[in-house]
Amino acid sequence: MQQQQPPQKWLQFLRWFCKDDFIEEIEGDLTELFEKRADHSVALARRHFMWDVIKTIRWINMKKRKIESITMYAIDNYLKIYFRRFRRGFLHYSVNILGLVLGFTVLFFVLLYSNDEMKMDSYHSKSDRIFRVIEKSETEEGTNYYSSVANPMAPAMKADFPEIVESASMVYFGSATYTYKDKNIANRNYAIVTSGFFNIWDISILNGNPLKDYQGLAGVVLSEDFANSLFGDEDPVGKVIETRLDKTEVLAVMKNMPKNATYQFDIFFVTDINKWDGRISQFFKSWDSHFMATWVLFREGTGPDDVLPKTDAFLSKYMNDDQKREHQIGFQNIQDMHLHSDHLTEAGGDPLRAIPYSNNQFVYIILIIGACVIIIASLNFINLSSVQALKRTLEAGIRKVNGASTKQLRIQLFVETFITILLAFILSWVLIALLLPYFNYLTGKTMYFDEFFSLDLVGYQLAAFTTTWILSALVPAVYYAKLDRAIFMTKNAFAGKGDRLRKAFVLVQYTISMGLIIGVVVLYNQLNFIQNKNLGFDNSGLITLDINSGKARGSFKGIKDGIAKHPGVVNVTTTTRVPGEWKNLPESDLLLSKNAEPITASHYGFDSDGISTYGFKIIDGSDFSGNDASDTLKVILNETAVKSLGLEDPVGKSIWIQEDTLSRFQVIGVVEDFHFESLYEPIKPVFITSWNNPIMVIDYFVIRYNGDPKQVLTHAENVNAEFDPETPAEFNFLDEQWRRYYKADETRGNFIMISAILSVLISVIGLFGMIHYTVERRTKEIGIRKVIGASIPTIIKLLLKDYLVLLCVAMLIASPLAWYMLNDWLATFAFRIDLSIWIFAFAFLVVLLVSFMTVISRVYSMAKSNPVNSLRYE
Amino acid sequence: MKEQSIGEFEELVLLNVAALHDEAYGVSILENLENKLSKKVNISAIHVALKRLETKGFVTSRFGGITGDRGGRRKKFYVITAAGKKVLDDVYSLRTSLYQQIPNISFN
Repeated sequence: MQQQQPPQKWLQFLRWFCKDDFIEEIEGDLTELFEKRADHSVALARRHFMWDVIKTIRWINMKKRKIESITMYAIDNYLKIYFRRFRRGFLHYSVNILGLVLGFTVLFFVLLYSNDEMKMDSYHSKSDRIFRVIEKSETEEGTNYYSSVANPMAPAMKADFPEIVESASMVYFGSATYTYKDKNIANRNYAIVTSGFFNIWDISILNGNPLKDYQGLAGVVLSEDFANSLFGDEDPVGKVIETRLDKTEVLAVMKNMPKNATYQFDIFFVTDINKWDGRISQFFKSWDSHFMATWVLFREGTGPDDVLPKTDAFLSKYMNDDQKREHQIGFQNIQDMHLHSDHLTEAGGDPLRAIPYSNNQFVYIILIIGACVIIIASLNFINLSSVQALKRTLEAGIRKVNGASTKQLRIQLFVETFITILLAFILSWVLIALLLPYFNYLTGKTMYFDEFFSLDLVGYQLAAFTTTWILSALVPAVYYAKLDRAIFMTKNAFAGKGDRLRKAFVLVQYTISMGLIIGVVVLYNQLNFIQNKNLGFDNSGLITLDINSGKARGSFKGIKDGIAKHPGVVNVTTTTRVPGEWKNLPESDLLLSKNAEPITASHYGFDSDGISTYGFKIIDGSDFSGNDASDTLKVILNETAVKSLGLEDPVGKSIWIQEDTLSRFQVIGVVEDFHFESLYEPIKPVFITSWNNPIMVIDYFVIRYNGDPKQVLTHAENVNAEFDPETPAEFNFLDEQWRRYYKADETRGNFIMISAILSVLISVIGLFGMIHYTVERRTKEIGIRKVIGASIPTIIKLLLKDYLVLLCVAMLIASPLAWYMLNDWLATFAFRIDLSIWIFAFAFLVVLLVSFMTVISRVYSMAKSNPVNSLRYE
Repeated sequence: MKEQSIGEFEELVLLNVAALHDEAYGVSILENLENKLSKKVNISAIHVALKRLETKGFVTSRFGGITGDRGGRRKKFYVITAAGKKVLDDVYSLRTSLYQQIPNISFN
């Protein structure tokens, strides 16, 4: 019988890793076992052999590769010395590493955050070529930008510009419900799109075909999650559901939108404009309606620059010169949507954004903060490690006497710094992994740890690592080079060397930390101020119930009376809009006489309970009478409107309101100014008409309640269902809706606060290290002073004086810088706090106290010590 | 020098080396052990135990002659040393003396 051979690959592998001394025995035994087993089954024997080889991979069996080069010996020695020192000076090293860990952690979080912000909507494979059309309108009142553009823009652009290979319209019409069998779900995360959309965005279809022909006005594409909640286990494709566009066929199911998409759509209505008829078809084709978001895809190698010069001629085909001036065309790349949309004015047809627009500036601010913190941490690290290195002159001296060159001493420093930074790096990774959930909570993001190792971020990490490494090893290395051999042999050869540099570093650290602390104090004061400012009415204790159907709107009086019956309900009103409105707030022109200069004012329509439900104060005239017929052409103005119009003694006077037509209204009352927008905005003119006004239909019930809101909610829901069983009730608490104005600021505030606290902490750690070193160095001096008769306070003063001066100087530098920047930020608010000297004083005191509390015990124990001991020192 | 100690598995291997006197090498120890224990043992565990026993000075080793089997590799034979024997004796007497201290327990 042919002798079976063991698997050669594995045998070679074994020979490769196994020690030469052992290979004879191990290979022999394994082969023998293989031969014996192969008598039964060769396959089994081979498998056993592999397993045996794997089990043989043990440290004891491994070839130990001899370290041949001198350098490796040296590094081996450096490592040994490093870890010995680490054990001896554990406090010093851990303080040093802790500072770095905190610095890196902040930096990494900042990187994660800003990376996530900048990558918003970049997941589309063609994202470089996907643009949104923006209209710029130049009028006397100023320049406005809109993302809702003329309705026929999409087909016209595709037809007229060869550079644009695909285009699509996208529009949104407010609330929507979806019914399948007995399930009925409301969901506003939808958009009505034309079929081109699926060639522009990356939408991964799981099942079905979104471009399939459909019956009726539109077909729908549902997200996985939404399809699940509506259909459960059934296959949705091909089923017909009841939607706001009547009976609609489900064409396809798509994957949920990725988490870094601005829009988290659950439903796409896919429609073909040609299928609509009558008024709506007119609407879709009208160049006077600007309601559609329009997406275009450029041909490869082309971009907006190729098209922009031709847009004027393009628009001339559809508009006259005046209209053109109000509707100039621009393009915005889809990746810029998240951070570069601050200039856009909210308009009707924009779908709901799941992730609100953010702004570029804040990303830069936190990048700067991240950089500041890592600068503080590195300076700290440089200070502490150079102090440590200078104390080791004796070791350096001996190395030199034994023939080490300065270069080798420097290499030693680099190696040691490398290890320290590596340790700090790893620890901060761990810290990030642990803290990520809290961080996500704080910033309202969903980030995962693995994102941290994405290619870009690894690059930044490497850059941070190398910079810190080289800089912090460089400073002590330079000192080493300067010294001659003789001096090396004394223990404190470097005493006092580089003090000025170190103090400069401390100064920079404290300047930055104080600046951050001042920033935080101001930020929180301001946010506190605007959140507690009297709005002119009480926004807590108010619930809004959306009127989302014609049925509810038609029977609003019945619903209102029904809701009012509950004992927990103090007041109910029906209104068109609410103060702190989250949909768009309509504006109209008010005129004193038919041909007078108009002023723009925001419009609210209330019934006769409106003023009292909100708690506005009527300072002149009266509320609506409650008689619908006579109220319809009455108007109540706010103080600002009265002032802007220049009305004197307004009650009883007539004004003209320009909507589609010009109509005459009688002023019956004046209401005290109240805030209806965020406090970034000043109070603007407002006019309040009766609910049955010609401008806008009612859209909300607003309930002022007492006690437990839960019961009121259930009650209102039941009443609503009685009159309109199909539409689910949609409730909001008004004060929560107000909070959304300041959400971004709060996130920013938290972010800056944490970095500020950490930066102070790192600076304090640094100061502690420095004082520790100073005290150690001046042990003998203090002993002598004590013998001569210095008191404990004198010595404490002696040690702390320098640093106190440093802190004061830091304050002097930080204050004007912080003042300048914060003033800019505060200027964005219409209502703001003053920057008082106390804020600065407070920040200074906090930093001072925290710093000196940390070092005082060390200094005090030194000052108290027996001079006999200190004189014997060295 | 510190008193050398011996682990349970090492003790088993050492007993095998002693029992298989002059015929003890990896595979024979493995087979004997698997027989006695009636469970699978991995060869590399035995190798490691033998290495440890050798550094502790409980066994010595020599190579056998080259044969056509084993891919031309020689067998490495292990023999127990006096120190190894002594350690086995110590363990044995310790166990026996402890065992004899057990009172007569009835498990019925």
